Amino acid sequence: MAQLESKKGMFVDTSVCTGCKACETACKEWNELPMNPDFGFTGNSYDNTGRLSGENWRHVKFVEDFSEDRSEQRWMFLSDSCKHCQLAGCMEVCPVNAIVRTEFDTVYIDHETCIGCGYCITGCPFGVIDIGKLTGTANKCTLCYDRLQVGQQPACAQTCPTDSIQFGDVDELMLKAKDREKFLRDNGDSKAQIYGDSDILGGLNVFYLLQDEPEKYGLPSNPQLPQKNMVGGYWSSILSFVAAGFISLLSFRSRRLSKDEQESSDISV
Amino acid sequence: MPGLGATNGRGGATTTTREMAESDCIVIMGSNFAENHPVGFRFVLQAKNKGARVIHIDPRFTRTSAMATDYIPMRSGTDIAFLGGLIRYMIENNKYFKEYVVQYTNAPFIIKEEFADTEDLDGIFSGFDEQTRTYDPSSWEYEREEPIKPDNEPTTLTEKIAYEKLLGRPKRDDTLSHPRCVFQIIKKHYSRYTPEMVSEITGTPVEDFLKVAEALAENSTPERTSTFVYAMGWTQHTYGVQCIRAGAILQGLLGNMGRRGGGILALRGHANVQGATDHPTLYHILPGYLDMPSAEKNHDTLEDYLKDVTTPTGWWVNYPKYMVSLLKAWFGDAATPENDFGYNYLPKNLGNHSHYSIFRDAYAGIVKGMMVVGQNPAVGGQNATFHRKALANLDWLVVRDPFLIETATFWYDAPEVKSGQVKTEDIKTEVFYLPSAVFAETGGSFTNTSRMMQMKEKAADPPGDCRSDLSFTYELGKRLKELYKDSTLKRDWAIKNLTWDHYEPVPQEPFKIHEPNEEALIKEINGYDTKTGKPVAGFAELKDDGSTACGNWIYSGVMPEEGKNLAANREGDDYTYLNWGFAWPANRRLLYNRASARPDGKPWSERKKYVWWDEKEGKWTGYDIPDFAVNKAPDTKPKMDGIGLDAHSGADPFIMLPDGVMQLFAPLADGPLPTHYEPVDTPVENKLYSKQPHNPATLYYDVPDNELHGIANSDYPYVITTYRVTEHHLSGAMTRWLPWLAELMPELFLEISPELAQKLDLESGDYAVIETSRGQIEARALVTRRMRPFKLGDQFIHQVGMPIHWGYAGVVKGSVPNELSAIVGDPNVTIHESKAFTCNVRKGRIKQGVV
Amino acid sequence: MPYEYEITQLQSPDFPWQIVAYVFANGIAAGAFIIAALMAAFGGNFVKAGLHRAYYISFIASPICGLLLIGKLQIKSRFINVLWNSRDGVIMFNPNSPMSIGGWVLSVFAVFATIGVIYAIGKDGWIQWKWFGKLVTMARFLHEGVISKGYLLLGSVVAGWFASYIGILVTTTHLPPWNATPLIPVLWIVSAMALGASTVILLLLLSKNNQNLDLINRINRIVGSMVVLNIIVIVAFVIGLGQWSYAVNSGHYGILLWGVAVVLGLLVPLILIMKPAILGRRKSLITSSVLILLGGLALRYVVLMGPQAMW
Repeated sequence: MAQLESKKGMFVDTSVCTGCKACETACKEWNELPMNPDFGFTGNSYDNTGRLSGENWRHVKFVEDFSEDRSEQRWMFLSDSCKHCQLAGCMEVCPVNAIVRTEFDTVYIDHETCIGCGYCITGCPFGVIDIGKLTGTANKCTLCYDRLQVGQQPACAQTCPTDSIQFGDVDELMLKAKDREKFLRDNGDSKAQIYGDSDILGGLNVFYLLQDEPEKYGLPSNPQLPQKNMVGGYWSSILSFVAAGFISLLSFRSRRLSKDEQESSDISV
Repeated sequence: MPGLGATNGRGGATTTTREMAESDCIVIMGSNFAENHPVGFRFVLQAKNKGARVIHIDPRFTRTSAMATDYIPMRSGTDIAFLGGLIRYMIENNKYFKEYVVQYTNAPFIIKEEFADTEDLDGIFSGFDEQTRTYDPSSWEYEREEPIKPDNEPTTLTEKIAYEKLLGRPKRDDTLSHPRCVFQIIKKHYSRYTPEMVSEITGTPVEDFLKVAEALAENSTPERTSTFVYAMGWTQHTYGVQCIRAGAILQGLLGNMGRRGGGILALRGHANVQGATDHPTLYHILPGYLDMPSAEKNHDTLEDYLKDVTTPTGWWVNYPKYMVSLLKAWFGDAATPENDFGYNYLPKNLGNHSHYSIFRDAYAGIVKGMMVVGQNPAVGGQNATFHRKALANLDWLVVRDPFLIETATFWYDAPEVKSGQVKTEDIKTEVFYLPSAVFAETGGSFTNTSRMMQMKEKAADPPGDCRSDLSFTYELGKRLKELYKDSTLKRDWAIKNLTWDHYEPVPQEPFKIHEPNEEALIKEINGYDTKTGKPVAGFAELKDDGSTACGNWIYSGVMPEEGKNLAANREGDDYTYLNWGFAWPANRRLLYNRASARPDGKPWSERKKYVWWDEKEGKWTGYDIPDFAVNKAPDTKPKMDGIGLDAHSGADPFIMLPDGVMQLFAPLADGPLPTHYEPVDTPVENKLYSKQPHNPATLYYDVPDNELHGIANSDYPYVITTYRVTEHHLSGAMTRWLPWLAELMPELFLEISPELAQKLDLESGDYAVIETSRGQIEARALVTRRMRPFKLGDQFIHQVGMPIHWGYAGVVKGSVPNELSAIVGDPNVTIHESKAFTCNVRKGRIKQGVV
Repeated sequence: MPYEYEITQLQSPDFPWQIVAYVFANGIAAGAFIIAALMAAFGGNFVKAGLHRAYYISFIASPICGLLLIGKLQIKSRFINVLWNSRDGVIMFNPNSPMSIGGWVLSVFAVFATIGVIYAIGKDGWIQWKWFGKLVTMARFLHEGVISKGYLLLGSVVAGWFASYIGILVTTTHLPPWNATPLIPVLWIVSAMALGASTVILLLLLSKNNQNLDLINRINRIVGSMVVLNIIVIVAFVIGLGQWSYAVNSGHYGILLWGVAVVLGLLVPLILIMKPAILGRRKSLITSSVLILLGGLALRYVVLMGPQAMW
């Protein structure tokens, strides 16, 4: 949609996230998102948001990682949102080009164009997008596009009390993240790892420093574009079309008529 | 906070949240720092990122534990046993900071022969009166030299009172070996708090306890410092003040007070708790921690009162100046030396008028009317059912709050009304609900945990007739003054002469609703010369002759010149940010910071340099404003007949206290030293003091349906603790009405270990009934390994916990957890015991509507 | 009790019932077209009177498909955005999006179906207007002229694409039961042929005049082949799903898949095709055709809704 001006994104450092959910609230406040329509007690640790959705563009995950005897005890938090992928599955599959890349290199849904077909929902390997109950269009984090346009940072990053969410130029943030990863590894956190460098979907503009394997946080270790499966679908279509057509013709043209068919003169009865 | 006040001289936190980042070891105990003070917690994480140990000692594994380097489990209510164990460890293993202890604390001071310890009397100190259940502290005093009185005649009221009260110097033994010196008394007092005993009481594994002890010892040296952080987990016990005292003693022995990255941080649960205490909203003090006059003491005249409350040595010698200036601020020209500056028109306390006493009196029909502002006692008070009974017995009740909270709706919405036990028509209370503005709709200031006052800006006009507290109070005062203007009754003198006109609102563009004149108010708080009307530069300029007025002496200096409000300063820097806001007293950030230097004035170490003596300039200097007489050289000798700071040497850092040193041994209502007592509801005997399981001076309240469970009550076998979560605030009055917050924690829940859940056949999401002799509620179970059973010797004790935020109104509703707890009080501050009591839990739901 | 998150924290697109109806209708439309076109072009020199009537089916089903597709959208008024991007002022075509392609395939198919129906009307001689005659001439040229074989093959390919694209569409997603195998498009094509052929049989049987017994029998043989193929593909699909097979096997989805789609919708018709004497020739044909349609609907419901229900 626009000329690329800069490559903006966020570095989410889970090692300093306290799970306070201020980002969730700030997000809802700024974006005027309504209350979860089916809110309620989930019994899943302190996570009553459950998942990202049309009403929740940010979701703090609570992972309780305790061994039976509690000799290993960890409670990990991750503030999840749209990752603004370089290779964005949602954007790839949108039939109306409603999902665009902005001048800040972020992935933005144009609500004036979106038809609410829901296809982008399945194009996202992270389950980020959902149809908003109020708008009827696909909804997700915009990286506060309206704030970026006036030189502000996203509401969540501004609110985060521990700087777990840092906003800035992706390249600079990545350098910071690598330093931090090294620091944590040097200080005994051997599983500390960056999630979202160029190995993941060409790079995630919103990337994470995790304290364990991505799977622990419910993140796929090797997400793909949905188009990975499209080629197979075409091939199978072509082959099955040829096969079905051929078999149909063979059946149709068969000289041999069954006994039944020869005898079936009572068809009009 | 008398815990810190008695030990160090001032009740406020000795350090700041920012200073956490400088610490090498942060012990968070009795606080869920990350959850309840999420913004300040960033500094803990900064320290951690610099390599500091962050130790969280708590019954529950919380979001704070998740961020700590070490999580140490501990049964609710056993803090003093744990801390006592640490004190013993430091003394027995010679890990205390000897030079600091000898020079900066009262460890060498010798106590009277009459003193007897709890170790001698099995759980009580000498001086206990079984009848009144109170202590006479006279046997806890120091042995003193003969007093030396000054030769000259007093020239001021302050001198007159000080000369009269001057005592002899305490006797001391700097070798710390005298059997009656404070150090030896402490050593003996805690001698049985061995790691094994601590473990049997607290349920903390011995190795976990030793881990804390070693970390603290390693990080409390000239090169390194440790900080303690506490909140309601220390205070909300019948021995709450002594929990803080235990921490303070430990920090004194370790030499961490007043040093960079050291001290004790008392976390305040609201944006402005510190400000509300300072100014204050408490029954027993006047602004600036001056005592409320009492009818129970000889406070008949101003001089009688001042004689009782003033100490002749230390900073508090200036008490008369602050009291007289306060009276001048309140009554203006009407306050004259002839009428004791209007002192006699102040009301006098008739006893304990704390929260629970007020509600007891309301229930008894003594208190007829009540204004509830910013509080929600119908669900927020302990034994909330009783609170509602008391409210129902009032003639009138005014509730001011942004939302229609439970306290305003109890007469038709409370569970006992819904169930038909109480009929609305039987409640005669006339309830007035006044909607109020929220914080963003008013200006004003907050004083935070770091004692720092910061101005805040109004963002929008409040809707409709909603008004700020300031505006409401001003208007109410104006109307009252109008009503009383023609009265000739003596008792109406105060309201007639109260200075009020200068608060007249000034236009504030672009808003349509104008707040009272904040600048005039701040100037009055700061203090001014009554002749010239010019602001004073600080409290040192205040006088006891009526020539100055000051609304709150500790804030004096916030407006040193007309129109220059330091609380509005917004200039940051990378360390002490002295030009950001204003921290009382005198913009000092780290209290007692003279102790950051050795007695000779040099820093203890280069790494921990903070405030030091500049030989060339002949003054104290450093990163902060020195909490000390700025030109007083370290080698200054005390004047033997001196009053005030003259009685202190150049190496006495605790200037507020009479002797200039930290009081490891300090008289409080329940003894001079913290002692392990069990809560009033407890699953076990007191393993140390069999005859005295509970704090003997506990305040008990004779109110209906307030039975206590006592020890090991088999009907109520589980320990329960109550607390807050990040997503809500207190009774939920400000958060349960906000959809965005309500949905984050939509229902009341009970945190329970899988071990207990299995026993009770509970799974996450199931409903559970929680009952005590006070009440019965229901909550959803949250089964989690973050909760755990505690092994006390060969016994296992189960503990559960639940947040307190729910009530019967709002966007999300639920049972009222505070219906479970009892009304009891700590003898020093009447704080209740909601952090540790006992309960029963079973699967199921309460019958609809039955309370 | 260990509080964790599934790696596949995916979101269901919540495609509504319209998509099931859509795939059903588009299968009938495409299948009928393929039967008509392919058999006309390459079906040998048999008497094929009445075969052209299959185009009525394609023609009627096409707008129904369009309406169902629009009905599936949250913001229905914007359906045109699929073909025309008014924001950028360009024709909307996104080759990476099977849905975008599908919009065009539907449109192109509608053209073929329309030409087909003109041809059919001309053949049946229902409309005698002059201007319509010109259209009929053109349509007849395409269907019977020198390029007819090429034209009809092209039409069949478009119809095949039309039948299969929703399969490619759901395969191009992250829902594992949809993308675990490339077989959903195969299911749709094979099933579409069966549905189309069955519908043509029903139409021919219900036509008052001109019942071409041989044609019906021959088409019924196609149905038989497709039914067998369909069973094979369903079994292969479910095996291919592996750990995700419970998405179509569990609960009422399993009953619908194996009970309705396979047994009632394929096995019973197969028996009736092989042993028409059980019910009699005509009843067997009608029953098997109706059951195949019912089974096809069930199959579509299970394959589209089952995986969505998991998220």
